[in-house]
Amino acid sequence: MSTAPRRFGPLAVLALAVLGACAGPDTAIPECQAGGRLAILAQAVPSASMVPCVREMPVGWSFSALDVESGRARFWLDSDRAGVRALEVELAAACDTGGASSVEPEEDRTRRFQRLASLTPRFAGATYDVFEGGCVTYRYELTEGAHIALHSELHEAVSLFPRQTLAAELQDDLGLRLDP
Amino acid sequence: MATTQGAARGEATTLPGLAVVSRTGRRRRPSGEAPPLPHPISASGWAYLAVATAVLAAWVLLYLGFGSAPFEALVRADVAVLQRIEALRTDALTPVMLDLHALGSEWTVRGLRWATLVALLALRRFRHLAVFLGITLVVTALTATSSLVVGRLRPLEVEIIGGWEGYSHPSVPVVALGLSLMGILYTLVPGGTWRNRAKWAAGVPIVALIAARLYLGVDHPSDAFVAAVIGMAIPVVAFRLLTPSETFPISYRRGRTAHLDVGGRRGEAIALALYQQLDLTLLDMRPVGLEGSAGSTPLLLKVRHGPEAVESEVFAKLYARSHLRSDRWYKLGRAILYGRLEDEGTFSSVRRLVEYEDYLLRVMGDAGLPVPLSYGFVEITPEREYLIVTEFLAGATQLDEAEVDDGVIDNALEVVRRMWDAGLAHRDLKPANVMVRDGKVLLIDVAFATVRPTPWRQAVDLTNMMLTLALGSSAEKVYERARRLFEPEEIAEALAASRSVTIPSDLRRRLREDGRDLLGQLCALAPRRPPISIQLWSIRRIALTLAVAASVAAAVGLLAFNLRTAGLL
Repeated sequence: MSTAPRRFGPLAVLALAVLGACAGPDTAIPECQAGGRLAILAQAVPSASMVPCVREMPVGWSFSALDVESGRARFWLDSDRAGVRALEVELAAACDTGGASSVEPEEDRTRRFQRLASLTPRFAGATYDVFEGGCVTYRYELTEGAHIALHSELHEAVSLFPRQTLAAELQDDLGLRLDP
Repeated sequence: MATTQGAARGEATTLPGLAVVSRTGRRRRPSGEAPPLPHPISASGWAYLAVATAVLAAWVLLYLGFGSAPFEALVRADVAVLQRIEALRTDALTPVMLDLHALGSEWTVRGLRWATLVALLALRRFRHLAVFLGITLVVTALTATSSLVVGRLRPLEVEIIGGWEGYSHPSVPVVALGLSLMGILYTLVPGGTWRNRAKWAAGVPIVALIAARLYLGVDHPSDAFVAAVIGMAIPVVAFRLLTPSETFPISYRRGRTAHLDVGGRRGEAIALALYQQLDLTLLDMRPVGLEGSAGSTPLLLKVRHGPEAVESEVFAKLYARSHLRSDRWYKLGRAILYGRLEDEGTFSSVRRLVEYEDYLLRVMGDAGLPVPLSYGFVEITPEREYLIVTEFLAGATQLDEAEVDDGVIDNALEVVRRMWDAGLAHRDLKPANVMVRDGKVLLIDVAFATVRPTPWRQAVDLTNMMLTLALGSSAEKVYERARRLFEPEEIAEALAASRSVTIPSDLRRRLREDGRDLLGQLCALAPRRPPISIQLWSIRRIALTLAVAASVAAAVGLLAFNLRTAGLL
């Protein structure tokens, strides 16, 4: 009994360490497959007909963090060449595309815009995917020289997932509707 | 009924006080018997622990098996409850619930936590402050980690009409509010009636927040329930283990917080321990001289003992683990400040600390020094609390309250001379620790004394005794009397070894109040001698200093990070 408090601290730290080991940043990756990790992004922006997801992590890229709240969801990717949080992906109900140029979209039923903020010393800017009820903004700041490959990689890494598919999966799994 | 009065060893050759105390009483000692004051976790503490364990177990079963039948059953049950609550929504009630929802806002929680931190700093409750910060960090980290591991969706099938952030399970705002309120309860509210009332008061905002979040559809009922357990049960159990009220009482009465409350269960345990272990029947007990004691709780006991039922007054000091920590910090500080002059180890347990004081009293008594008789010590809680019982020096007064004539000065200096010759040092000589009875000096509070001290420490003892005596007379008189027992070079060396930091804080304060530069006057009387450097370096001192500096730097660096993690920045 007398040693309980002494053991309590180390045990708590050990338990946290074990839990922490189970819960690295990768745990929260919103992968492009139906499930809770992606559906919570859809809950953040109930009007959005699509949600951003991580399709395939290119070599040299890693997941950094997820921040989701009512009205907005964001996640970041790190790059071994472009640095920490080189890419920010944000889902919102709307976004300001003023001054951005329209470019060829990658997904059906979306419109893509692009706005470059700087070319040197860093290749920085934003790409917008606008779709029914929502918009995904990709903000990036990439190393000059390697930016063409990096820019291509980041768009390979992130894709859009249809809300309808997510809702159908949840209905099948739990018998519950994503949108009441 | 006879009454006896003891005589300090070294003061007289006969020891009438010692004989009246029987050291062991005859009683059966059943194996497995509980100590007088078992280490307490109350019934409610165990209940909290059981609930927390059950919830954590259920949590692991349900959520780590995502997609399993128990999980789906729980989700459906949660949704069913939420749909019933959703049916109760009205235009009038919704704004009220949105306002109540603010109870769990980041700013509310930050306000509560910062207020607690500031109050604890102002009240100098550093133990509670450290535990509060530690629990806040651990629970916050546990909540964040479990939320990430579980990754639960916000409620389905109901319209969510309130703001939310992150995954649904556990409800982070409920955890944060519960944790903050429990922190206030267990660090600022006195235990007992006040805390019991405050628990009900704290329950109101927590229940209101849970109700609001369920009404707004941002949490599942199970999210809120588990959050309440994490935010309340874990802190309660942790506070009870790490800052038990018996050892770290919260009181707003004046007095040092190091002193333990000797009423209630502890009082009964002391009486039982004295009876079982020293065959003393406790008749009365009251704290005494608290202002002069920082390291223990001094008590005056009235006891009955022996076949003739003799009543006596004895002195006792209660030591707990908090006192042991004080001693560790004290010694660490001295090792860094004085280096090789004071290199010394710390006590590994309270038992060792009490054994050491008991031993020192006996060694000093054997050396003919006038110290109180030790009647031994009793165990209150194994390895946690002990009570050392000594003779009560009836009729003795502190040196600063007595007439300090030549006889007293000579006697006090003889005591120092005897300590030098016996290879002992008191190390805490100050007016509160030098008593006078019938013109004779008595030393008390020998817990910091040492056998085979460094010569420097013995020299410091002489200076501190001279300063203590000079407070009640004059530097000239004390120096003149000291020359009878010490060579001028010895006195000069002692004075040269003294610095502000070598003088006990209580003595320093009295010297300031006195106004005379007594140390300067003594130095002027003694032969000139350059000051003795107290900055002697050893590998241990360098390592300790570096380790402490690195720890402080790391702590400061981590503090900001952790405060942010804990939602305080």
